[in-house]
Amino acid sequence: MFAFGIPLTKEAFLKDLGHPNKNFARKFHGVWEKYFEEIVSHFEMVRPRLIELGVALCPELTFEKFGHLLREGFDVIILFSHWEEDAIEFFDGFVDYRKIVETIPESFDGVLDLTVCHPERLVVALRGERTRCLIRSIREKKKLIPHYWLYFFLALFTHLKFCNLTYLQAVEDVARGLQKKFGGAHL
Amino acid sequence: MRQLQVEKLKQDFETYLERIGRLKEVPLGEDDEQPVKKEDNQHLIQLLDQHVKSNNSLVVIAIVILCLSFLGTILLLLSYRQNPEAIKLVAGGAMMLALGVVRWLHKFWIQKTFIAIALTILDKLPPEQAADVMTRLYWTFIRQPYKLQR
Repeated sequence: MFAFGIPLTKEAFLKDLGHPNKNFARKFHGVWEKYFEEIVSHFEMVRPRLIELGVALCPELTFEKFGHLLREGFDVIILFSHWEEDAIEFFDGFVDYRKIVETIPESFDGVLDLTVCHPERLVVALRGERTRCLIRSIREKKKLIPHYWLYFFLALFTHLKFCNLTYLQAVEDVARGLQKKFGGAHL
Repeated sequence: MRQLQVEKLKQDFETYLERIGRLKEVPLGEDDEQPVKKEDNQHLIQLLDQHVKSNNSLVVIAIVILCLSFLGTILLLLSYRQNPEAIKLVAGGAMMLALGVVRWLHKFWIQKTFIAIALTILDKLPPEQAADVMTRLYWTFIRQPYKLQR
């Protein structure tokens, strides 16, 4: 399950500009064209390919929906969103990392891929309190450029489709491959 | 004419936006935004002033070409007044040349208006607000976003 907390349509972007508890859209100074070029155009490009590969997509991920996803038995949940001041931006607003930890069932034993930068406190809390689930996150203090990661996941799911690997093995393979080809600027 | 496709103007705006950190890609995490200073806006004003000067020279050149072509046309028409075929040719040629020059002038006029608006905003508004407007002007009128859906 590939879930997005950030807006992916013009309507959602414009609505977010006036949302008191969200700020990712405001980082683009209200300019939809910039947001479209940096994020939405790339999402539109990868979306049909991800669907072809059988990836379940969840745009406009609210915190409540996130809770449901964790109980629906997905092996892997990728949370693609914005992190600031120890909170993740969901479609309905920022949620503090403590609340996120509490909403994850102790029985959840899948992979939670946190494509947000850089949720260190959340990762530490999850590793201590939700020992059954596997967490993947970006360790180093590198800036997470959204479109780069969209293509990373496209490469990852393509790799998973053709090779008999676990999710984490495939992540390692693709990261290593991309590092070798393009250097480690984003990984 | 929604897009101003002018390489020099685009470069000027990109230099300014780069300087105030608004051209870089926005990451998914916290990112310190640098404050916009008055000097940043002064820098763009200087760049746009240079642009205005070179545009003004080009407008003068265009008007001179227009006047010369008008005079040339009159002279040719007088010289070939006995030859209807030559008159057709000269009139047609003059018309095409005039249309080309007018089109050129129209383009400069739009640019001139655009720059005049930008300069007024940069001069009158506080730096942060002016930067917001410049960012919007750049993305809406100068840059053609990739596969932009409107």
